[in-house]
Amino acid sequence: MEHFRKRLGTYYGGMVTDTSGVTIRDEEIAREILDHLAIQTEPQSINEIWSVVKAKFEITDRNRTVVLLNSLALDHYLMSDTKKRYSFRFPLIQRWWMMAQGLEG
Amino acid sequence: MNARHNISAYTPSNTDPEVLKRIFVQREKLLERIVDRLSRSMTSGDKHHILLVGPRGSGKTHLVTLAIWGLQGKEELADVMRVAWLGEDDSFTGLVHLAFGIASQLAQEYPDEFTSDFKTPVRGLSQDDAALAVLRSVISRLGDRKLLLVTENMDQTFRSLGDSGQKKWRAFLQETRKIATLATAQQLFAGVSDRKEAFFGFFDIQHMAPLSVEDASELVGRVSIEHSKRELTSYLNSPEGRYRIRALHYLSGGNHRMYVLLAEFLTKDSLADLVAAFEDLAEEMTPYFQERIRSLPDQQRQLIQCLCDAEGALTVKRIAGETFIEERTCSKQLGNLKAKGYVRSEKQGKESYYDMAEPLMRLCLEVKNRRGRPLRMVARFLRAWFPATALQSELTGTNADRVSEYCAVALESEDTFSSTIAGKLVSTIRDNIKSGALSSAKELASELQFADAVRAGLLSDEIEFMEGDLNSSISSSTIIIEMADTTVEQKAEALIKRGVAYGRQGDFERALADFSAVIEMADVPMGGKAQAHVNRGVTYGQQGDVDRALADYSAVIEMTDAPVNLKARALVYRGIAYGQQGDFERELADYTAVIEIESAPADQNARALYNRGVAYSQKGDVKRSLADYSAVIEMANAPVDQKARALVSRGATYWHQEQFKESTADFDAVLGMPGVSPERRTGALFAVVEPMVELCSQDEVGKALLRAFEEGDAQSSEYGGTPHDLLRMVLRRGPVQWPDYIAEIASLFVKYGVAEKLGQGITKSIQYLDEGGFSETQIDRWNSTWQQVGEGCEDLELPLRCLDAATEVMKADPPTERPLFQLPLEIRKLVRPLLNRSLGEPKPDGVT
Repeated sequence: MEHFRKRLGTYYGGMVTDTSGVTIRDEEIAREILDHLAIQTEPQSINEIWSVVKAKFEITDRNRTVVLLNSLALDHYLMSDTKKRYSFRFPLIQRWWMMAQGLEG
Repeated sequence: MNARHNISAYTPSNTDPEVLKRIFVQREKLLERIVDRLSRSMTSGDKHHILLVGPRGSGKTHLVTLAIWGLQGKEELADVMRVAWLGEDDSFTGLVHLAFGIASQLAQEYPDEFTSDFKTPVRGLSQDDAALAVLRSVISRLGDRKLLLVTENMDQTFRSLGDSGQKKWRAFLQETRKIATLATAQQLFAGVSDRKEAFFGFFDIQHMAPLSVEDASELVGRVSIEHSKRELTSYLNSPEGRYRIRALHYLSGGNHRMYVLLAEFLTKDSLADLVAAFEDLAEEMTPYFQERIRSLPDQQRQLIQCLCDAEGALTVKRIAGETFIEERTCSKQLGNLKAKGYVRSEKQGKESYYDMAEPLMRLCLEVKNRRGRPLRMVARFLRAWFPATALQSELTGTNADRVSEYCAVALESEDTFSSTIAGKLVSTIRDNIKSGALSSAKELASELQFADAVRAGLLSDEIEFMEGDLNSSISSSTIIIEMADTTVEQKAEALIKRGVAYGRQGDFERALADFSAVIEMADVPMGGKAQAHVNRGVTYGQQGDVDRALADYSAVIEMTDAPVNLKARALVYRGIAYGQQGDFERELADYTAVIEIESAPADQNARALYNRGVAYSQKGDVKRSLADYSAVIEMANAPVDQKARALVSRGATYWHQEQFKESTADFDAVLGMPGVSPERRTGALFAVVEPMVELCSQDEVGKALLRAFEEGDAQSSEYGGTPHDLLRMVLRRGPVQWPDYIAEIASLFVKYGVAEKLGQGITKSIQYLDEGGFSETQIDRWNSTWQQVGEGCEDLELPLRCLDAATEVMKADPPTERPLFQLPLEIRKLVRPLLNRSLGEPKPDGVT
């Protein structure tokens, strides 16, 4: 399943400049989102995910995170429910992601 | 008294809030949100904790001051809110000192409610017990009121609290639910960003974005009004004013504080005043920056010194070379400096370039080391700010004073400052052009003329061309072509642009003359020459002179050192030209040649693959055609629209092969792709409905068609899709389902104003009806349903008459053309070939 992690670099090549002028790749943000969702037992709202992203990166464009979530869903990493809350699409990948990233649930 | 001192750049909390409010820009909504949330925290059980993150001078204290002022101005909060605003430089060494800080602030602000002798009762207790006892006493004195804790430099406070202090503080906040927080920090810190820490996810973090040039202009304008210099406002809106703001922007790095300090510089008309103001500023700020640099470890100080000496960004390798610090250590220390906000980095290719985060810090080191000589950075700034002629005249006029010293250094120094600003402007203009924001691009181009007049002219030319203002574009190009000091490259670029504009006007002769002029110019770089050949080839092609077009494309292909992108483009165009001549083999060979060039740009590679797929398809080689479309789809870096185009074509090919599931998947993929052009998306929205007729229920088909009409771009030629293909699919369903399908399709096409397109589809369906082996009853049913559904619709009147006549032809025994005679002659000629199965191939005119 390593390709799920590897292909992030290919799929999410966009860049964003943070408030200090540092360039951040979308891949890094996507990885952080997946890390966060991997250890959740409940789907997370966009605001909950955005607050985690802001705690990791000095960025202000919320919309970019929304677009990223949408892309992660289109690429079958995530799914969203009717309330626009996101979770991993497949429990198997969620478990693999947790292990591969060394996350503690 | 100097009016400037009304605004304290370093301690906004000491400035009159009314003034702060008047010069507040960019963050009005954020302020509103903060006041609203904290206000709710004071009047309800919800407690909000807000953390503002931004470097020094980014306006955090300004925002905090206004938020508190706003809250204190609310009458309804007067009895319910108490504020403990800890000093910006208060240092805490544990939870106990934080507790003392809160108690002491409250006692100072509200002496009737809180005791200043909070220490006596807790003497003799352990630090943790004392802290909790003081905090509980504060909470008990609060009664039903709520506390707003305001603390700056939260990162330092957290460091001093340590892990156990943070946990205890968090537990206390949770347990009492009476305290809301408004905090600031210079950067994110582990206490809030590390998933394992107690405060992870606790704060609503707001990052302080740097000022944009527009916001900066607004801020400077407002500060000027405070300084009673209203005339500046209109100057700031002029191209020159905006350019100068941009120059300040580069100097200040988007930092609010720097703008407040530099605002008055814009009013300095004379060089002497500007130089004096700069030297004063440098003198004034030196202690501030010195203090910051002094607090750094030796190696980091050395790296800062190196970056200050350099005039631009440096790579780690270069910094290591200059400082004799080992590369790995250097990289680590630069990382630390970046985390502290002293430096910033930008990745270009594989290398990271480091630069000072605050360019003004360079001034500080210069002031210390220049011993009376002009400050290099100020000289460079003057070089960007004033035209060389102004500096020159100052130099020759007054030879011995301070100003002429500066002018001399400015004229000697390389104009890196304005070239940096010009570089940034050019790339912003390019981005604007790309995104279609032409009016902003034009405005920026008018600023660019102060940094690089020729480049500004070339870009204006391009913008005017895109706006369709070809005459202005041609005039701009002509000015550049006739300017004495343009380089050969710039002249060639202007000639090519003018040629393209002439071509667009249909003046092919002048277009050809301009392209030919570039081809014949000596010293033009190969790229310009190749571009001129390609453009001339296209122009010849437009005139129908395929042989000359081929010759131009071949010239580029045979150039040994033509840029690869132009070579690839020439090959693609030549392939198309060969295709027009019916030379299939050569056409294929050219596309294949592009595909085999390893370094060919992705867009040309994708285009060659796609065109080859189409060529194979025209030759009936479905397998190879599908392979080429698939190759485009799987290319990692093909442009989105090329991929979408390949998906649409592959989907259509699958549809023709009756592989409906594969076809649907391809059209769906287009609909899921972000960034696809409205034209392409509209095509896919309608195309996906066709295979669905075979695979899905009628209800689902109806919904998909409705979605296509709703989401599709009504201006696009794809709007409405290809109704004859849709009807062909409907004919495949049982006749029992026809009436429902026909009713739904007709109502949607009529409702969304594309009934005429449907009419063409109905006419074309005659052929499918004729060739499909349908019984007389079925043909009657198809016809009668359409006649009923389409009755009264003007756009369908003629197609329905055609269908009615064709039905009579198909039912006649023996077959006869006679029913067609009721149709107008020109229509009859169109309908007759659709009935070849029943009537046989039409005989050539005159043959009986």
